[in-house]
Amino acid sequence: MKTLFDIKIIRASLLFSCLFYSFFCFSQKKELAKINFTAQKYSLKNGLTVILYQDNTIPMVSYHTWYKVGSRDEYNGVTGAAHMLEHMMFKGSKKYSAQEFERILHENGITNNAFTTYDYTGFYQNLPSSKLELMMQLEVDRMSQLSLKEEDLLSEREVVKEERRWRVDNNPLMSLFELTMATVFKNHNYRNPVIGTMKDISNYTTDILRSFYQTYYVPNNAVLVLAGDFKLNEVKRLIEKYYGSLEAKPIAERIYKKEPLQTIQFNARMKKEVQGLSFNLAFQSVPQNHRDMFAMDLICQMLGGGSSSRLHKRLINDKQIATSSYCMHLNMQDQGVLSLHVSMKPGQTMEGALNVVYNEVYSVRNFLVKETELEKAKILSIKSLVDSLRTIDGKARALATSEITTGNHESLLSDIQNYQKVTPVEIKEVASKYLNQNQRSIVVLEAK
Amino acid sequence: MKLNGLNQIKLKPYKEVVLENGLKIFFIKDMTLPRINLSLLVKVGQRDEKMDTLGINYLTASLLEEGTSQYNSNQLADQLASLGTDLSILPGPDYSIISIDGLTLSSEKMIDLFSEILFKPSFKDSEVKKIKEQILSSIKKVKDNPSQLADIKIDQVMFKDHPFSYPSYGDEKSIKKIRRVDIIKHYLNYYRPNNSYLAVSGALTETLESKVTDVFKEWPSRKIETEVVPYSFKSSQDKYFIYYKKGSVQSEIRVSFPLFPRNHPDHLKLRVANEIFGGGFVSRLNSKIRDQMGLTYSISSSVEHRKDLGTFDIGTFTKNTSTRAVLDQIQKELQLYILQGISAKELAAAKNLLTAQFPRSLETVDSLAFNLMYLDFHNISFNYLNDYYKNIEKLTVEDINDVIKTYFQLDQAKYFILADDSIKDQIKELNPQEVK
Repeated sequence: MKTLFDIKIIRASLLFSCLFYSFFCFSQKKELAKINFTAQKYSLKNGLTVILYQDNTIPMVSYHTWYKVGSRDEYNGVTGAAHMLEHMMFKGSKKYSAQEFERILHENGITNNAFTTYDYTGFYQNLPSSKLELMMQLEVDRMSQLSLKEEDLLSEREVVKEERRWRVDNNPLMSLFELTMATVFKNHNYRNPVIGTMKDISNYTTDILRSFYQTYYVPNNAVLVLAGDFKLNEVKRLIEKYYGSLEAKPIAERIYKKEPLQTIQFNARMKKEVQGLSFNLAFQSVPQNHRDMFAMDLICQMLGGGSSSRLHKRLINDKQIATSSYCMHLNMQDQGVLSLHVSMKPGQTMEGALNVVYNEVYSVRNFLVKETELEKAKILSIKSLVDSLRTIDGKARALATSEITTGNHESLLSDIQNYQKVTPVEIKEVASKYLNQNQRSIVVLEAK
Repeated sequence: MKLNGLNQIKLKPYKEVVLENGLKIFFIKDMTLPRINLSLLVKVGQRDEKMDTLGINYLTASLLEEGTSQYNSNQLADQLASLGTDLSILPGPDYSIISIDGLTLSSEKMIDLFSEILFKPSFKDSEVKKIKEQILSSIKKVKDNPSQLADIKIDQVMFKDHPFSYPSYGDEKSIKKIRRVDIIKHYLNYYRPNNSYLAVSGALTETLESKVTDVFKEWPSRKIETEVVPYSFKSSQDKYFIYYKKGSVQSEIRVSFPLFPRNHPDHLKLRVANEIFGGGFVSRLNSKIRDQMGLTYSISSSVEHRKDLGTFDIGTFTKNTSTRAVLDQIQKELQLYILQGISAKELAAAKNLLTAQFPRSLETVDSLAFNLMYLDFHNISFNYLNDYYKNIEKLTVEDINDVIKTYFQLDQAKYFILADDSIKDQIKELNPQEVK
């Protein structure tokens, strides 16, 4: 339950299965995609956004309820509160006691989980289609009248502490990631870990969590996505029946701290009991949906996406000094991060690898990439999007993410065209804009 | 009453073809998406290895990606990427799977490239050296990952003197010893059509099916020389094992006891028993140790099957100070489970979950393809899929309690802890054996 991070090597983004056909045209004929979009979107009077995607292939429904609240909405002293609240959503409502929610799901053959990110929190279930109405009753109930009891918080807080120890404190590479975010961001809440600091985890109160719940777990701050085996008219009737009576609440304008433009290189180091050195070379990147996002995705793909990437070829195949290398382009709503990671072979120093990374970054900034290399990056980027849509759960997740990050799920349907349009000149321009020496952070994990 | 209103699973139609060279091919058509997947299951894994060449199968399989007669490793990576294909290589305990998937746009080229990778690996000296070096580094670096290391160490405890007691990539000594000629010999012996299954799924046309058949019929068969020593779990008095990892802020705990192989009539009963004991969020282990006691973020049990044997495994982690409390509670829950058995309510819930989620395991044509190869490998009739609901439905409380009493043999259970040595006092009286 309640997994925390949702990070992929390249941008975790979302398209529709019908895009396959458009992609089919793309590589050979260079035609722009034709998109046949079949999901239905509408809003209830209370502001709840609903997206429905009917697919009767298997007798199941994927049920996703995502809220527009994440760790960027936290404030000093309560880091991790959004994540803690996510855990507490499983501890019972006024109608169902703690554990009863899970028990009812289990008895009815429903699997269930959730996650929290910097920008949003998602809850999801996979259920037999015959249990759709039951699921709706349960989800509406905890959306509107969560218990948030002191005794539940006491035990669940210990669970979250264990989660933090396991994910971060006892995991050197996650510790490195946490330090990287804190190094790249000096002002914005993205500098704080989504799971929170151990000190803050120890200090949450039910009042703090209740305030989060009452502010953000309201229909006008939520997106409901159902994908799978149902009839559209029937499912719409049920949604109106169960969600229609919930009241919308005004949400005050949220003002997030701005991150100033980086003008000098940041450095940070940490020591742990590890066998070999690792480092991240990270750059501030663009917010979600910025026009340069697609070029940055492709730069990331060319530098560190898989075994045909520049870093893999040079560091692992040719020089043979690293055990792994990859690029992560983390797109968030206010600002992104592009991070190049290298894990060295035990006994190897960092210098040789760092020079390779510098050279490759210098190269994309100063020389035009070859068309063939760019085409390869495009096809791999698009395929990874398409591959995530092979199941109804994948489709539901894609719809929810696209809606919540852009405010319009259809906007993502243009992703393929946007990748197609990127040119070698644009790659060079975008790299020159964001990947400079004074804009980078070097964060190192070394052996004690 | 039908569970969840379900009666019988409707399998997507598939075609089974056996070529003259012995290769069994499953074709599963799905025209909804313009993509295809080819997966080759080769019946070779750790179980076929000898103690002096541990890791040879992992090394051989990994080298398939490192060059062919036509391409070096960088060129091959570029070829795969420019076709928009993913190559996946998974050398396992009993079998190895090599698969490729991509868009129909490039399917013909993809089939040619896949056959080039499978039939014409170069096994160049330089690549052998490179992959060996990488494996040796990985052997060192796995020490940084406590969860992974604990999984490796519990196998070391359970499968004494057998290749399964080592990770699939072998150990430092054996990797250094393996020569290029050993790899070629291993490849030529095992990577054969009469020792493999091929599953082709996706947007298949007759032309593509013919292409696959034409390409793979050229793969020469050969008598497979194999000598698998049957493994039997050795009984020993040692029950507790410890590996000290300096600076670890949590203890990783593993418990394991022997079970039967996959092809056993009690398999489904054990799966139900596992679901109730440690399979999900409302399982006994999770309810008690996570939800009530708050001692971990995750605890679960699973049934692990290999060709010749199986194990029942429990895994969790906790802060150093509660290591003993978690260990004691796991033991208590196991004893209670054997003593009390399950209730009718627990059985009904477990049946509902297993049946309701079953369609997901066959949702895509690729997953159906894997299931067909997997079942055939274990000599299990495909009726297992057709009769799944029926067989789950007829299970009774007595059936499940019988298998719990029969197979939960706690005198054979091994308890393993990976932790900082600050926990020494907590476990002193258990007199654990230190694992190196």
